[in-house]
Amino acid sequence: MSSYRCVFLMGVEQALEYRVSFFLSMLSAAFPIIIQTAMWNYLYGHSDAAAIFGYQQGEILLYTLLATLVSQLVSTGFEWEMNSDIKMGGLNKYLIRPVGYTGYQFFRFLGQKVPRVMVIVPVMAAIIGLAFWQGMPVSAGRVLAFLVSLGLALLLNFSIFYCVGLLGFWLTDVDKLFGTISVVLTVASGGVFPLDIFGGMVEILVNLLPFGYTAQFPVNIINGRFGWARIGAGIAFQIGWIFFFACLGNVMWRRGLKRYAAVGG
Amino acid sequence: MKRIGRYCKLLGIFAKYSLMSALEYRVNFVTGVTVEMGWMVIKLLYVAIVYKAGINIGILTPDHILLFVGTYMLMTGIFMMYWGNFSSLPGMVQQGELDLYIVKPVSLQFLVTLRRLDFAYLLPELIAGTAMIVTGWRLAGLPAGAVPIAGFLFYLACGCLLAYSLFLLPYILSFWIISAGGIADISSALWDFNNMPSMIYEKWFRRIGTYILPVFVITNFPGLFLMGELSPWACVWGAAAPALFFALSRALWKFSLKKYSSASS
Repeated sequence: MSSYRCVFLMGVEQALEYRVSFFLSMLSAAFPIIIQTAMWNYLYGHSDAAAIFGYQQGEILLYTLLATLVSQLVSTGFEWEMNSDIKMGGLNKYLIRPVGYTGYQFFRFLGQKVPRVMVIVPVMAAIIGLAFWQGMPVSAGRVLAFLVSLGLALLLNFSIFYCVGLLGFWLTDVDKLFGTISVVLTVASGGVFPLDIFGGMVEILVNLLPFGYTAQFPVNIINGRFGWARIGAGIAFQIGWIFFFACLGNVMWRRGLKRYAAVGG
Repeated sequence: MKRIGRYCKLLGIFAKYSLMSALEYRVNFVTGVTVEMGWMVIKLLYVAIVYKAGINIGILTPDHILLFVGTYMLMTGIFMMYWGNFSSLPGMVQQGELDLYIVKPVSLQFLVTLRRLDFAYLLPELIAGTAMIVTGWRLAGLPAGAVPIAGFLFYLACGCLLAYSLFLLPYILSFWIISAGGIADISSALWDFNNMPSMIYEKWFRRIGTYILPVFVITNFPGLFLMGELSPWACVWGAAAPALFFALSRALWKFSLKKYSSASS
């Protein structure tokens, strides 16, 4: 366990290595919030948007603010390094060390999140406090359920992108494919807009597929759209999908290793 | 004039080699197209929301907005075509790769920022953007004479020069800071302010985005010219801003180059 603690601390150090870059990254997360807040304020100020989209103005604004932060919090990036390890033979050194590659990636991923958490959590707390002050149905129980679902969302996103990274065993050039997957999953997770505003089939798909459980689901707990039954079912879906991707990752890892040529490294 | 002709010829050669490379690595080309299509989906979500709400934004009807977003998509395609050169600049500075180019008998800025052109990013945005511009133009009943078309194309060209100059500025910072991930994030977030017509923002914000950091000039001015909504002063600014920012980017480039230490080469 102490080796994973070292990997975790290494992740923290790596994330703090380029501080200007880190803060520019964090600042850039504020820009989509400005764009979307301006758009929703305009639409709700000039039309009966609540009836059209099914969200009250407070709900959609809270969604816009929190979805961007949640997306930042659960975002990955290790899949590129996994691909490089597989292609360049960097994986070799992990195969002979007394540390599991999955555990290594997971604890480093958690470590790299620490500075982000330290910036995002106070902002999130302030937003939730403001929402409570504005009379939105925020309660201690909801905050707790939100935190649980946020932790599960982090795990789920890690499991999804771990499987994406393992595609490097089979595909030759994945750089642009990773870009596509990342963009598509950002949209599918509700990280840009809540997809249930489009109603019908889109809403059913969002409820069934795993991606909405990485951003849209946690945010809709805190903004009061979901009742407790829906929250319970959603958390069960999150656990189920984590289990599914963990098993899939395990199978992909074992099969991938058989194909691994250990070139370079 | 002879010099401009020489550089146009060089640009043609860069385009030819980039196209040959794209045709050689076809899978890479196809995955590039799919990445860009993913980003297009996000832009189209904004249009879908405006059409779903069915309201005007100031003087803009949803059909006008279609034309504005179409212009934004077209400009994105053109910008993305050479953006890869910008994003590789920090790596070149760090690893001393500029040495190879610095000795060539052409402008270093021209060579480094335009040598590779990615047609995979241009293609989907060009097709979808042009289709949206033509459809929005027709549905909104805008004039289609020689003067409006020439004016629209003129402000498109000005927008291209301004996009190049304005968005090169943050990348020049890579001569000072080592990790440039944050630069890429913040400049792409700035670019996304054009997801919606500038009229959706507050007046003070619009003024900053038009006169101080003129991102709104890039994609809003062609459409506003067509609608006859550009004041004489704005018409002049639309043509002057690209020249001004191009001069600024040249000056900053030359100044920054003195900082280049040719390390690691």
